[in-house]
Amino acid sequence: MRWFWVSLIGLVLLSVEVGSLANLRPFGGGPDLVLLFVIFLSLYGPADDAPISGWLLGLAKDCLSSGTFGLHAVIFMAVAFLLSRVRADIFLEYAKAHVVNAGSATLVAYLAAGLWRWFDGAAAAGTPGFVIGVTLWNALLAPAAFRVFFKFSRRLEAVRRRSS
Amino acid sequence: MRANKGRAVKQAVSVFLLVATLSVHLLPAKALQYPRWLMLDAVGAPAAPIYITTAAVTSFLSAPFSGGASRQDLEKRIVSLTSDLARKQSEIARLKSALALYADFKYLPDRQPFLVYGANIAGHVIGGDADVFSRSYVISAGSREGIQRGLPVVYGNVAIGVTSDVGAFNSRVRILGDPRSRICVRFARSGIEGVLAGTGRSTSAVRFIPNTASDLDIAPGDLVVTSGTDGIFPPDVAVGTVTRFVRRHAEPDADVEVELLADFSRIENCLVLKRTVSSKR
Repeated sequence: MRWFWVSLIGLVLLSVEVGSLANLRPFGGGPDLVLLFVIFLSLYGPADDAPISGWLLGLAKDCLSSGTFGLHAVIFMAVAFLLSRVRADIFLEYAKAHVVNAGSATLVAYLAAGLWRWFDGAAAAGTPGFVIGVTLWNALLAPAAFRVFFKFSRRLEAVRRRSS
Repeated sequence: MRANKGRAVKQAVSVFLLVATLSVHLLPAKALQYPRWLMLDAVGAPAAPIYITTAAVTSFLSAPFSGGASRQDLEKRIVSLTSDLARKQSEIARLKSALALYADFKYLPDRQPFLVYGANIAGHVIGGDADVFSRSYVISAGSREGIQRGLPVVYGNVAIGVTSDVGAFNSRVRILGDPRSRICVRFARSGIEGVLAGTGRSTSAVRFIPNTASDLDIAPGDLVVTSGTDGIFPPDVAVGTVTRFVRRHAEPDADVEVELLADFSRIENCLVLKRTVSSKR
């Protein structure tokens, strides 16, 4: 049942991204809601399921983009794997921690995507701007997005770690 | 023990998925299109009202700030009408020559195919691109309406892009600003041809201009139209205007920046030009 909710929320976020955020791309890049969801699942959900969740949501994003098929699947899976491995050593409470965690994870993911596009010969002149734009948007939206995702924490089996 | 076994299974599944994803590019390109087509149809319907509502709200909110664009709108309209006139004149000339060929060669056994554009398909823009690096639209027309990959898409008489992924009900249009977009264009005034490459922004760059070993007669403000030599767009469809031209010293290439005429943030409908190859004379 957990995977059903992961898929459903992922599809809703993807619809919002393709529907409204594609039309609003201020400062080069808008927020990546699907990546925010992947980061949330990696930090607060079952650690063993994080890579699979990242792959699933990344693949859905690939199906709705015109870039290299499988790129987001691999990158999201890698980001989810890394976050699930280091989450015991990082601070997960408070909004500031959400901003830092989401911002750094997004920067890593989009730097990898930008590097791939550069090697693939499809890099645009504004690629660094896109990377910075998405990173800033994700970092700023992370506290609000995580608050919404926590509403589904029981269905997603997400556990907020209490600060000691 | 049971928890360890479950963890091992999930790790094995993760590794398998990673290897499968990296290996998927060994498959034929056509195989990769099926999941995209399925998702286009699955997400296109719920995304459509969100996109349309957001586009309407964005247009409403930006209307007070676009007072200075009315002059530009008039200029763009004049440009598009001029291009339309040129295109129709070119079409008349082509049909006349086709008629002359038919009269002269209708008894020859070999047939010369002609490209005839007709029965165009209207599409409503219902979504964008999930990838922030790419530029494309999702339109509410698919293979059911006769859309195929590689068909030109226009907005009025201005070129927008080319269809890339086609589902049964929805399709994706890669617009001219996408970094992977390439179409053959011509400078209307001088007749010089080149390839228009997207840059990910509202301006594109004309590249691969043949070296004429002489000064290129290009100036800011020149109209850029499709040349038709790529077999995608018909000739003389308006594309944009030159905003910057820099001839590199002692090099054959030049930096030519083109402001695309289509305002991609305001496009709500488009026309897919259905290409039919007629072998009849």
